[in-house]
Amino acid sequence: MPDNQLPLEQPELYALGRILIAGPVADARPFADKIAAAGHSVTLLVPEEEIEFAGKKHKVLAREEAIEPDEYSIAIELHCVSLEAKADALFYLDDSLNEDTLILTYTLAISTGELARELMMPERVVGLCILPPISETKFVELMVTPLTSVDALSRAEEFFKGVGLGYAQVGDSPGGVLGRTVCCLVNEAALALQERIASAQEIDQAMKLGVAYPFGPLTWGDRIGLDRVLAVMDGLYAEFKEERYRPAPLLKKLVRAGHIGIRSGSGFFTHRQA
Amino acid sequence: MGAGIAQVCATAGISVTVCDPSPEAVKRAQKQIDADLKSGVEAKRITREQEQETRSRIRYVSGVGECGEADLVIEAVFERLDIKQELFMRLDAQLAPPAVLATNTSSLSVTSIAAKARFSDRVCGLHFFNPPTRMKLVEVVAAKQTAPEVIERCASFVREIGKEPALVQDTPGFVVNRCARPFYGEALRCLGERIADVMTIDQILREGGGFKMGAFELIDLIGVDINYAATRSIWEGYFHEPRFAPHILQKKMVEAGRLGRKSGRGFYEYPNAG
Repeated sequence: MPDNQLPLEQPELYALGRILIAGPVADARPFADKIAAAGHSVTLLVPEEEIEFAGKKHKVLAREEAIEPDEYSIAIELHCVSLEAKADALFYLDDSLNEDTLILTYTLAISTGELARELMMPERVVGLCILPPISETKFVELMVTPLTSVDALSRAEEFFKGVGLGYAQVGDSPGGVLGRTVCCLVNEAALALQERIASAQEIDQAMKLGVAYPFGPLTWGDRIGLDRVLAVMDGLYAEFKEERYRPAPLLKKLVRAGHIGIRSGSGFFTHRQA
Repeated sequence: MGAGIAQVCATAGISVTVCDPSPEAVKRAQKQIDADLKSGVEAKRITREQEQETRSRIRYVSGVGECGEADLVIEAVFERLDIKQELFMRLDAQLAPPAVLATNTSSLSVTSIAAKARFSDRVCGLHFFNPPTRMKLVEVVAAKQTAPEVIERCASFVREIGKEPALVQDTPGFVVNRCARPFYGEALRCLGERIADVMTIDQILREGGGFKMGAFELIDLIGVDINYAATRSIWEGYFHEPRFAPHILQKKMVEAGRLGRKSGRGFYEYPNAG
């Protein structure tokens, strides 16, 4: 079972300073709104080229600006698919923040341990797995690596308790429990569609009515983003090297064509742009 | 299941003959339908007149030779290929086209059932979900031989009885049972890898994913043995495709007699069952 056990009594409540959220605006901002709604002050650390889209609600820093390490007790790194951007942000945070700052890293498509082990202080890193869209987050999965300290995990749990989000600790695995399950459902539906077992509408309708899923699997894929579904499948395949995680060719074709779902206006279905 | 299907058709205003070789089975079907209609009146879902009219539309006979004329036959006998094939040979000889012959199989090949009929282009699948009186979906299954107009007629029949048709090709598990495989499969894998325990996995699927039930609660409700058999049947149907392979945990649970709610213990314990 879990590698780390919670201590029976919480040692002390940490005074939370500002929360630093690093990532692309589209994901960082809605997550910052949720954190801020629970009473925290948030700073967004966004790519230079996105700074004009970051809004005025939260303090905003561009990646090139120096961060004031004493201000932050927790940093949340939210890069989703690009491993390069994620590594870049993590090294930067690891370098710039105080030693006791907790780092939560978004681990949708890779294992937390993959990048954490490269950092100077991997013991303060906890993986954070959320099924996109991040703006609709209700629940987070917290992942520890063999290097994560007990203290880091309990601080992460304390934080999400305070924010009012559901959370559970799970083992370190690409996609977590939810991402893995839902992305495999999307992938299976993509295979069925590719094989013309039924039309896209009928597959979705059948799964909603036949097994009462909250969304049809193809619509769900479009909501998550097909690039992200593919990243989870690739991550699972890389981790397990098993045939069951082979991405559907149709999924790859759509992603290559830029048809990644709601964010691009089309995926399995055509979506009217908001 | 045949009784439920008959009740749905009769409720929609269609004259139905319920036919079974065993007089006891016919009596049981009548009892079940009458009881369900009565409880419908008590719960004010239907009026007493509707109850009477519905009952008057159903004729009960024992023996396939007694079933008389029909525009559509829906076969819902035990899920064994040889039994179904023999029945379709008899029905095919007894009822001339354009009468449609449909099988309510969930796991057998409609194509190999149709192959036993001389007029095989009028054979298709009508896969109802349990209980038919409440579940909105019917998969209309096109066998290799099925004529397009037979599919069209069946789809409009399904709408006439107040259900939603999903047109699917005859492949193992059709759409719903096949596309639902990863929901159980990945939950079992996560459990097997000790990424999380049964309750945590179910909690994540419910609270994070919005599924009505967690995978293990659902497997316990379906029956661990039934779920295992469905997994095996699709795996075998696809020539042991690795992603459909059952999990060793399913087999062990069945071997231990932990079949879910019905046996008092499955992935959870049900102290008050049985």
